[in-house]
Amino acid sequence: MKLSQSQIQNIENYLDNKKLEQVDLRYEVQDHMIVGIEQSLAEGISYKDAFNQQKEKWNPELESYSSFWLGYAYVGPKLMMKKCIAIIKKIYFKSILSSLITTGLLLVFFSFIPKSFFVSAIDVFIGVVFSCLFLLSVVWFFSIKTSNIKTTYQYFYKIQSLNIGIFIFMFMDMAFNEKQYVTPDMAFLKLLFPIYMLVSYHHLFKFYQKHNRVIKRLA
Amino acid sequence: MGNSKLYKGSLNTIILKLLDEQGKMYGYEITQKVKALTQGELQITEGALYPALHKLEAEGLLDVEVAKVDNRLRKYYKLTEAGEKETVNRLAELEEFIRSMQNLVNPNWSIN
Repeated sequence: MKLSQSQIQNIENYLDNKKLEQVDLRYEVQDHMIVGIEQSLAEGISYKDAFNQQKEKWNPELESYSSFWLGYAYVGPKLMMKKCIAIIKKIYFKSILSSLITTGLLLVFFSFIPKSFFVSAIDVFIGVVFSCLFLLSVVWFFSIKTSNIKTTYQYFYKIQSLNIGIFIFMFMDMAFNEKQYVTPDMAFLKLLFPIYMLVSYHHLFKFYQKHNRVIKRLA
Repeated sequence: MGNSKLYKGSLNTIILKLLDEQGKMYGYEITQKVKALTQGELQITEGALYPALHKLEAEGLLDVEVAKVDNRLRKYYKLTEAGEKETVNRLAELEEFIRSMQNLVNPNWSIN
């Protein structure tokens, strides 16, 4: 037995109330609730009871939730936050590992090239590159923020872009103002920092792409 | 979920196995299929199913296909190429685990 438009609207209102706005999850939960209610109706259960049963099932998954992994200031429906946590855990591990390897390899590479190569012009070049990346991330931020359709990746981009944007800006400032940031004998951590920023930035770009892909697929 | 602690570690493998057999499935369909196959013994909760599906998708083992059904959008999950390979590995691991458990619990029993 199919649900009427007003009955579907009740489900929509429930999801609005739970602030599940991200379409990649919302459509899925909505479909699950509708099919569940329709099956209950077919078994002779009233719409009111069937809807309440579904709400009881979903309430724990849609309650407000925050986590150490995303920062306790960010609160959202548990289902969405858990999806973000699953993504971030994977990214942290990958980013740290690839940054450590790249930094190690670069330092080995630096030891083989002449010292005259390390002129302050390199720092200016890196500063310019990071400035472009910073500007690009700001453009993406506003593009994604003004998007009418919300996705988990949009939420995640907004959280991450703030952290990454601040660090890129800090590094940009250091590269321009500090004389010879990049030197052949530079400290491991000093090189690791910008490398990690670049890797994180790459992930930020991936979120931007995924957000647009979800919109294309679902909207 | 009945005996949730015992089933919890196998949930991802169960999902992969079902998708391997069925081709593509949506969330509610998976819960009902598992319920039917286990005669109601195993009931996957929404809180366990969707995070597992999203994790498998993030790992690149599942792909999503969207279809319009009754004027709304439905997300179908299906195995990627990597997912198909992983299913074989995980099923082999699970069978090995069952054999080991059986040897411990009932040495005369065999799954073959």
